[in-house]
Amino acid sequence: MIRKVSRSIIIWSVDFVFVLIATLFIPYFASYENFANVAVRLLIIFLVALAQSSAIVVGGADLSVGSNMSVMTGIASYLLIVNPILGIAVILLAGAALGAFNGFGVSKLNIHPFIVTLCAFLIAQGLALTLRPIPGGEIPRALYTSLYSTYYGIPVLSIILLLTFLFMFVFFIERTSLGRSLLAVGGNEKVAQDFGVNTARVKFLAYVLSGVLAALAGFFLGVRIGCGSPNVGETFLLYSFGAAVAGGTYLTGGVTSPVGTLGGALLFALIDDILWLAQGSPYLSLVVQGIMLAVGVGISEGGLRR
Amino acid sequence: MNKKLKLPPIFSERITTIYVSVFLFILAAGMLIPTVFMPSNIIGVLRQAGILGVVALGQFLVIMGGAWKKDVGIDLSVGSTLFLTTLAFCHINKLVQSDIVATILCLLLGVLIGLINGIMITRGNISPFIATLATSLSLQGITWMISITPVEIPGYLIFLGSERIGLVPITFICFLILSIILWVLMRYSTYGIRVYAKSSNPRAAQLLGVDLKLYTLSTYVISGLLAAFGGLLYLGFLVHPSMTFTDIFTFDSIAAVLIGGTEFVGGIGSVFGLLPGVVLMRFINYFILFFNVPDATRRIMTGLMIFSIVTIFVLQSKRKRKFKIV
Repeated sequence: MIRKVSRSIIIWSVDFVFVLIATLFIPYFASYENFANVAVRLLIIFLVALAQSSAIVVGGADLSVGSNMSVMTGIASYLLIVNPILGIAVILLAGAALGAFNGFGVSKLNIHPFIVTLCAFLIAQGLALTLRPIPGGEIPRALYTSLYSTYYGIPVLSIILLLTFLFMFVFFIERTSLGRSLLAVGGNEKVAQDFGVNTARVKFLAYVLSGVLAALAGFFLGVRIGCGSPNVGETFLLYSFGAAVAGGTYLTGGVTSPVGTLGGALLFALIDDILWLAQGSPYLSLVVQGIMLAVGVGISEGGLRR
Repeated sequence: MNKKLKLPPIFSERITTIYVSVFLFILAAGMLIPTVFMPSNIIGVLRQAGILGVVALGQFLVIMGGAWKKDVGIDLSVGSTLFLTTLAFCHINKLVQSDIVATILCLLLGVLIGLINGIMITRGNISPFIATLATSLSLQGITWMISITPVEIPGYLIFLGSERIGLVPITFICFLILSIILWVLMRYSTYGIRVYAKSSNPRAAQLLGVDLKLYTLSTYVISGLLAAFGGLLYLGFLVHPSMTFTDIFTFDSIAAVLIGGTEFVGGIGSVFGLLPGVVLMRFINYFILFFNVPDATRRIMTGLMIFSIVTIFVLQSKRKRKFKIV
């Protein structure tokens, strides 16, 4: 328990230092507009990080989350303008289907998660390119304005959504039997099986959950960028791993911390936002992200594993 | 050694399956579309397969022996290393005004990238996936920051990348020579046997005196070196390096290794499986470009193909296991 808390404290204090430095040195960082911006970025990265951690926690990985998000922006750009409810339903179903493909390959066929999700990644990329070969389509502006709507400068809706997802995930992983089984299977599959957990079913459901959460992240990303784009989701694969692992999820499975993951997601949302505000070269930002990923993961994983 | 080590058969059941299925696939494609077997097409496919093959040899070694702690070995930085090498060669060449020195420095750059990967993994305990992803991103950024300088590509690189002997391009011959070297190394040298040992049971290998850190590191270094060499071959093929680069090497090299029958979790794998793997990957790629099939279809097809071939392996090994128990 203490270890768990200490991990979250590390990442949150790194965030705190980041915010402090950014407030001091970057103009417009501490403005209400930027607050809303960071909140929406955080919401998207947090959702995709939860998707990744639900796959990591059963001892796997999901390489398809990024291209899954691209597909969802494509679907959103066709359907949301017709009927928002139908659009969201189709997006969630499509996410579940992609997750079910991964889950089937991992749990029934016993193929290594990297290979299965690599295939799903390629297939989803192809689908995203088929749906929208170039960025286009339209996502209702009303959704954007409500997501960014502020009340006395505070982006209420995105913060409420963020907290709802956080509490739902904490409740799921700590209080439901399926959530506990997820941790058990990731911790020691053999023992979990001996205690009567249907490991194949649990793994399958973990990947379905991962697909659905990534689809949700894709939906919000679509709302943010306002169109469907074939490769907009690709950077989020990196963010998902970075946020989950920096937040205290073990890549070997069995351990996760939703509060820490939120901290990790905030770190990457801040990097994303600061690089955007600083108007640096996008190429340099790639280098910075790469180094941040290695350093962040190195501190939280390598440092604490010994 | 008075007691000779019993080696597994060169052509195992798995390797035979791969050769037969790839041969049948290409034959079927040739029946449907007669132009497939035109000499120019064969040369085109083999030339690309040779470059991919050189990169895939490194990827093979990493997937076999690059695992660290409980994380499987993977090198996601091969594509960016290759791309960086093509541009770095021009810059270094302009700087030092010598073809040979520039070539050697480029190969050393590959070694350096491999060292960085290996040190991050073995000293920093970062999982190979994350570490090489981070390297890949940084290298991409660096590559786009340094622009192209036009220089004259030395004749020997153009010879390696663009010439051919009969129907066989030099790149493919390079791949064949390197794979024979790697095959002998893996099968008959202490190094190779230790990599196999580490791959199938790292704990046991460590107890028998294999330096896990050193051997893990070495696979990444060799992979970096081979990726840089692939970059030089690619430069000889392109002649004029370009900034438009879609990474067709990283995932295709992983796919070729997996199609070639290498187990992702280690222990099983043969260099010989790579040949049909890379030929199949480039065959698909080439003919999809040839018939103007959109990129989307290529990706979906590649995904489905890896999935089905790996499923066949899994079913095959399951059947074997059943026989053993009974």
